[in-house]
Amino acid sequence: LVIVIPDDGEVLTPPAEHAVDEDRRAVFGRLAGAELGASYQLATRLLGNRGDAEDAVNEAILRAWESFDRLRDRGAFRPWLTRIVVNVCRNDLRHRRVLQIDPLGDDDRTAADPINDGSLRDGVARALRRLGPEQRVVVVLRYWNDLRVDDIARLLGVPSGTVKWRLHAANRRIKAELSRSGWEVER
Amino acid sequence: MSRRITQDDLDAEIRSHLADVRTPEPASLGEVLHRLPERAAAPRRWSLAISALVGFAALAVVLIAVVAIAGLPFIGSRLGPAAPAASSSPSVTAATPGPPASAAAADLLTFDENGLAFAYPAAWREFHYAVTSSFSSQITFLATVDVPEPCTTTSNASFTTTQCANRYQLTPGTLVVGILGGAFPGFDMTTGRPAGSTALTVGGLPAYLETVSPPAADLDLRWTISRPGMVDNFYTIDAQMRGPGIEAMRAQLEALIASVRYDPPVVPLPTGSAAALAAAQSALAALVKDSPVWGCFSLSGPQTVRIDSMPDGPPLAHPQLATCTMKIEASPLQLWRMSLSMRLSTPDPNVGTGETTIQWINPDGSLGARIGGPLAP
Repeated sequence: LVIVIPDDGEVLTPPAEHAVDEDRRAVFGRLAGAELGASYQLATRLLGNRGDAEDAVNEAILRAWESFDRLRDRGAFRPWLTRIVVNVCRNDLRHRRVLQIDPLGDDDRTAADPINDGSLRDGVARALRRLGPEQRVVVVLRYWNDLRVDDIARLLGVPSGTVKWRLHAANRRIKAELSRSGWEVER
Repeated sequence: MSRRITQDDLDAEIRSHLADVRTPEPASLGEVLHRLPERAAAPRRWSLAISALVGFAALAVVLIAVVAIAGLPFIGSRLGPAAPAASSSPSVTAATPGPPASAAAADLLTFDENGLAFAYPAAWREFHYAVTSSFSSQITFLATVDVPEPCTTTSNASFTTTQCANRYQLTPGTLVVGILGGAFPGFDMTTGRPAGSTALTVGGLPAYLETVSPPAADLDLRWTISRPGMVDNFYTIDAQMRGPGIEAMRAQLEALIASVRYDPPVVPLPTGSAAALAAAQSALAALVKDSPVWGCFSLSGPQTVRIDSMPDGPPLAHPQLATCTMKIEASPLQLWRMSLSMRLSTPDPNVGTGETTIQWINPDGSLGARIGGPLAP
């Protein structure tokens, strides 16, 4: 018997003996607690602001708890939770018209950075803000989480080619945005 | 004059930008773990076995399962400040009055909320709890017993804990009906009906009925009914009953379901091929704005064109000919369902032999949900 959870596509098997394990809460708390920080960092980068990120992580944790009995391999908790976080954030992004981005902290790089007087940085920030949900997700997973294309594909449940295309399209869009700021990316 | 950077510089700048987002973790972040529902929701097929172990307390499992389906409406997504008074016992304070219920007949009242309306016996009392949550779904109970506030809050010096569960007790000859709204991405009432459920039409739209093995009731009937205009949204009406009098209560519930109507009413799709063609035309025009590759599809019939990528990606390894065929049909959901198949002349390493996309179209011709997948054989 195989159960497919429709919101994240995870293929799971029914619970074994641990179904009524009274230690579940403690186990879940330990596993989820270790991932809270990373989940929040990821959600913040996907959603662009802290309040939404906190909401998303809370929702993801509750979804994970709801399905915890059916997690086949507890060693896979981290990618499983990451997938839920990404799916919660994707759903949130899809339902938004405007991406609200928290202002960044003071930037002390520009004075010392000869290549960047701030316009490149501003252009990249603007471009990232304008990416569609799917492009934003792959860019964050690629550049922040440092995941390989195949791993992103596995996490999102899409073919690797789709991930490559989304990265390509995102890159094209970022370059177009940068060119408006006077930056050309050499091939 | 343009300044130039390399792709590596750009990659580094993107990484740097993402790394620079200042995200101190809020102090409240970990507290979500302290306010988890009392038990993880077990799949319903095991609820009977669990009830044998945990007895009446397992009632909570059913509620939590339903809550989970409804997008966890009970659970506040933000933790507020610590509650001033600690209370670990279930609250028995009166529920806030429900939405206006009008007398529809001598012994019936009308429920009309969140787009759903129906008649129910006047002897049933309405319990309406306002729960603040960014992803909440309205919940109302109709019951012949007291339904206490589902969530209780306790606090100590370190944190506040809120636990939500089913806290009512069915006594002989009583029932509790929970009404919830839910959504799952990809859910489709017409294809996602669980095995063993009974297909129905409720309020003119598809629905299904499941008989659940209840942990502490004699009968638990759960209707999942469509939410107009939204393929992946639905309502759940979950009724737990304890005998005697099950048959009479069941008859009342069936009368309730028979009275369901949507507010505003569902507008049936126009019939005839002209309406379907107009919907398809409107949708295709919108799709082409998204990606010109959708231009491969034509109302006049299958077309073969040279493409270098799929409409929603990915790019093909090499440009090649694709044959595009489309079909549009009126769905029982009163939405148009357009199937778009793109078959490549030779298999592509990125795409395979092609893709089939299901594009839902609203009655006004605007685009609804879109789901893509491998080409159907």
